[in-house]
Amino acid sequence: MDAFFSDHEQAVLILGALLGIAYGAVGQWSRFCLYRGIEQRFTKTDTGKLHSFALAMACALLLSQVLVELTGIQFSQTHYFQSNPSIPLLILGGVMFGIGMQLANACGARSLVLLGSGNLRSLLVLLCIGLSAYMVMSGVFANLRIGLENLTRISLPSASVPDALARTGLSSSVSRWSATLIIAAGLLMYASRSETLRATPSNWLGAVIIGILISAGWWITGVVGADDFDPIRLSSLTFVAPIGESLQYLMLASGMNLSFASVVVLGVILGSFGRALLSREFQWQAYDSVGQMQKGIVGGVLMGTGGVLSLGCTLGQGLSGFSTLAFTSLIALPSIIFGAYISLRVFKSY
Amino acid sequence: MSVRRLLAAFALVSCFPATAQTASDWQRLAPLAQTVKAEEVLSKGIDLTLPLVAENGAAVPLRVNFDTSQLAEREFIRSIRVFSSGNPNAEVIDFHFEAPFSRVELSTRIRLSESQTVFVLAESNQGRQWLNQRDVRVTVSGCLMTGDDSVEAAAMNTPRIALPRNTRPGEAAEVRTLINHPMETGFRETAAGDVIPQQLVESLTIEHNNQPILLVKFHTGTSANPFVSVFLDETDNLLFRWEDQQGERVEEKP
Repeated sequence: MDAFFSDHEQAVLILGALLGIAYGAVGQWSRFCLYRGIEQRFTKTDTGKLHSFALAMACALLLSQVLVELTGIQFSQTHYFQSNPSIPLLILGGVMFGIGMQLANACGARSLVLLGSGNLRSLLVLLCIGLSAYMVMSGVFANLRIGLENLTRISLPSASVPDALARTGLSSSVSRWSATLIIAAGLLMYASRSETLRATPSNWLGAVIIGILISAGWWITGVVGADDFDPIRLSSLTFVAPIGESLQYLMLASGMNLSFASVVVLGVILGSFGRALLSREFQWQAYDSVGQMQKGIVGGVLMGTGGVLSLGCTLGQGLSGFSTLAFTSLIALPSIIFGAYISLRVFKSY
Repeated sequence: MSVRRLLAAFALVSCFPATAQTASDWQRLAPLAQTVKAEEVLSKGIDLTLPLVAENGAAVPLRVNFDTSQLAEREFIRSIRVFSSGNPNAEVIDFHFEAPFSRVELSTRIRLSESQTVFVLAESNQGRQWLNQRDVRVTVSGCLMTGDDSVEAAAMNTPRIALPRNTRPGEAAEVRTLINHPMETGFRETAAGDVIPQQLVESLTIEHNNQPILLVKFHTGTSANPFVSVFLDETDNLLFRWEDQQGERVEEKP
């Protein structure tokens, strides 16, 4: 590493941009999307999307835990590990995110990919996500959020599944690997049941690559970004707060440093744009109706707000957070799916 | 670094002057006004780098740069002191130079309790003074749900010193130091409402050939695990000594 980059921060930024480009290209090619999967489940058609998300979860989990074994990175340093989280806000945030995802027709990561391929609808959704995320995180609603968090916090004896198992007396590596292997096996079994998934390489190969990219994200921030004096915060692919941070960077670049999260966001748009041009799928698209636009705005605001409360989006909690086996992720992901499901029930009639 | 600069340039670096205040700003901050002795306070040559927006007020990166070509013959920088306008205690960190440094560039991490102005005052051995200031907006921490009032062990531990990988003879090289310590301010309370007593690392002394060359004084405005980076002309025979309020000492050689 030392030969290529002037310091660890530069290495993290360049590798982060490459990671984003890879995700953008793969996401554009495979049309990876949790929301599409939930929708199919609802309409009882099998397009393999939900199964491909499960496959990506299994790959991300296995590879990230292998990375822990090899490099000794500590997932307890991530923001997914909370010893006193506010469970009601995690659930509320997840449900809001799910509803928003249904209204806007895509989650934050998918919106970035769509924007790269010329979808201007997602530009509006992204602006709403970024703005509302920062309104709740550090803006006008920040004190309200902190007040609610403090009211509803509970203290957990442990922050993740392996930690909880280790409290029963098992050694930490036994409890980590037993949890990892059982959960990954369940997900793989579920994924393998879909014939569509097996038949379409873009679905299964895309999911496997995205699983690899999640662990690559941990490697970039945790191994390349490790520094005694100025360590980079351990994180992987996640999109709600980073979309807001990227907007903030555009406005305040003279007094702000570029971060791993922002270069990933930029990379995803570029990667998707490049792949859409190559495959001649790039096409300008916009809203057809006022109603559609209203849904996009409300959906974006719900995703931004909900994503901050639930500490992550479908990618951030569903894959990155999940691969750490943190309790907050295991609460947030079902909440997101539940939110999308009730929104489908209410707003769609099949 | 160069990539970040390039991107920053692409992103249309703002054309507004960073500080358009009147000179009377610093006079309103008593501890700073008392320190200013020179009849005319200069501003050319001293540079202060801080983020415009800090999401984590507990550790805001600060860099001070002094252009030594502004100095007259036999003049050198004696001290560089950092003050804050909005912290409970205005003093943040002081650097006292016992010898002339060819390159005066210092980095550390500071605490800012709210949005405020940070001042830096440099003084030469001939009594000339330079002042610069930056506004920093401090937002609520982006790190969510970290309600933590645990009291860490307040003993200094794990001192670290990093010398640059490749030094060129005759050119000052950046040396980075860090020591683990919570830097308890004495302003914090536990959930039960008890004040957590103050526990600070007081100073870092850097010696070269057994002669002190730099004394760094830490205050409540210095972040936990005090980090200091300086450019030294000689990187052999160095000794680093940290001392806390109880008189405990930790010595480390690179």
